[in-house]
Amino acid sequence: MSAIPPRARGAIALDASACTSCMICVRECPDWCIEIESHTIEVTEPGARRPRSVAVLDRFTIDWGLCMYCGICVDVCPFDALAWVPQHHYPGVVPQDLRHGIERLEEFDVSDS
Amino acid sequence: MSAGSPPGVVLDPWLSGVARLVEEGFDQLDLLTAVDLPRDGVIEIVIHLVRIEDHAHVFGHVRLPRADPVLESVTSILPAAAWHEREIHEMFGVEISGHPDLRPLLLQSTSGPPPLRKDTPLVARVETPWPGAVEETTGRRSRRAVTPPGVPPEWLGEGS
Amino acid sequence: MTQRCYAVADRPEVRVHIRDLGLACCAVEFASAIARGLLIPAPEEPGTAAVLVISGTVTDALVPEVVRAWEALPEPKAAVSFGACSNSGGPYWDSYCVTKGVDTVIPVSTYVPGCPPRPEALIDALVSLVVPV
Repeated sequence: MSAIPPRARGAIALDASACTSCMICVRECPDWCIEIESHTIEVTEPGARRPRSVAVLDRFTIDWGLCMYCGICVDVCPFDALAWVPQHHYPGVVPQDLRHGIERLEEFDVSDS
Repeated sequence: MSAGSPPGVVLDPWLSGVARLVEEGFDQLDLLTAVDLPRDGVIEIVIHLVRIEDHAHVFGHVRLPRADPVLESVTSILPAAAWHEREIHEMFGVEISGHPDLRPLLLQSTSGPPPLRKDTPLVARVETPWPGAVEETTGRRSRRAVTPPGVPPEWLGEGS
Repeated sequence: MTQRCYAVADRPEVRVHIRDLGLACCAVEFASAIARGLLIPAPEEPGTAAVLVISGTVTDALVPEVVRAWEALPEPKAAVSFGACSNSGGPYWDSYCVTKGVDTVIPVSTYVPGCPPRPEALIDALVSLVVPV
C-alpha cells in the first residue's frame, strides 16, 4: 500500500505555546472556521520596571467540517503556531466531532511533516 | 473605482448589433453573460461570438441601467442564446424582451432578489456570528474596528 | 449508477456495497481509492451492508435526488458524508444554492473531513463504520 506523501495537507496542527491570540488567522479564514478565546494577564519579570500584558489562550477551535484546507491561516500566522501535517484519519460520528480544540490540534504530529 | 471597458465592440442597439456580427460570419455563440457593476449603476451584457472558417472571434457588450435593465432577445438570430438569456434573467434580474420562454432555468424559487446581483445579501454571512469580531487581548495593541469581510454594512442593517 | 460490492484491500474482511453519489470534485478522490487498489471488487454476498458515499457539493436543487438515492438503498445501510461540501457546505457555506450539510436531508453515520479528503480517509471511514471501535 502506498504511503501518504510527507507534505500531504491532511490537517493543521497547533503549537499553542507559540500562539499569541492575535486573531489574524481567525480574521483571514474565508470559511470562518477558526475560533479563539483568550484573556490577558499582567506579568512582572524580575528587573522589569513595569508589568507586561501577556495574552493567555483559553480556546482555539478549528471546525474541520467547514475548513476548506486552503492554508491561509498557516501562511498568515506571524508566529508559526500553525503547520500542515499529513494526518488524515479523524472522521466524526457527529458534526461536533470535527470541531477540534487545543488538545486535539496539538496531538497532530508535526514531526511527521 | 469603475471597471475599464471590456474588449470588443459596443453593440447598442443590441439586437441589430449582434445581427450585424452574425451577418459577418460570427454565427457561433460561445458565451452570453452579464456582469453587475453597481458602482457604475449598470449591468453589462457580454457576448462572445466565433467565426468557424478563420477561427476569428469577437466580444460585444452593452451597458443597461441597473435600475430597469431590459435586453432585447437575440434568440431570433441565435436560438442557442435562449438558455443564456433565461439565466441572465433569473440571476441578474434583467428583463428579456421578445424571449419565447422565460421559465426559470436553474433557480427553484425566483421570489427572492436576483442572486448574482452584488447587493443581494448572502444570508449565511449575515446570520453567522463572525468569530473575528472578538477583540485581540494583547494589551497595548490598538483596538481596530473590525467588521466581517464580505459583509457590507447595508446587509447588517437589513438583517436587523 | 450501479452499486458494487468492494473489499478494503488492507482489511479484506471489511466488505461493503458502495453507491457513490459523486456530485463534485471529491468524487475524483473516491475514484482514486478504486484506481489505486485501496478498494477491490469483491463477490456479492447477501446481507452485506450498503454505504451511500456523498462525495461533492449538494445543492438544494439536487436534494430530492439525494433523498431518492438514500431511500432506494436496501437495509442495512449507512451514509458517509465525504468532504467539506457535503459536511457543511464547506467553501460554499455562504452560497444561495448549496445545502448546508447533507445531514440536513438524510441521516449521516460518518463525516469525513477534507477539501478534498484523501482516498485513504474514505477507507478509514469505511473501516470505522463496519468494525466497531
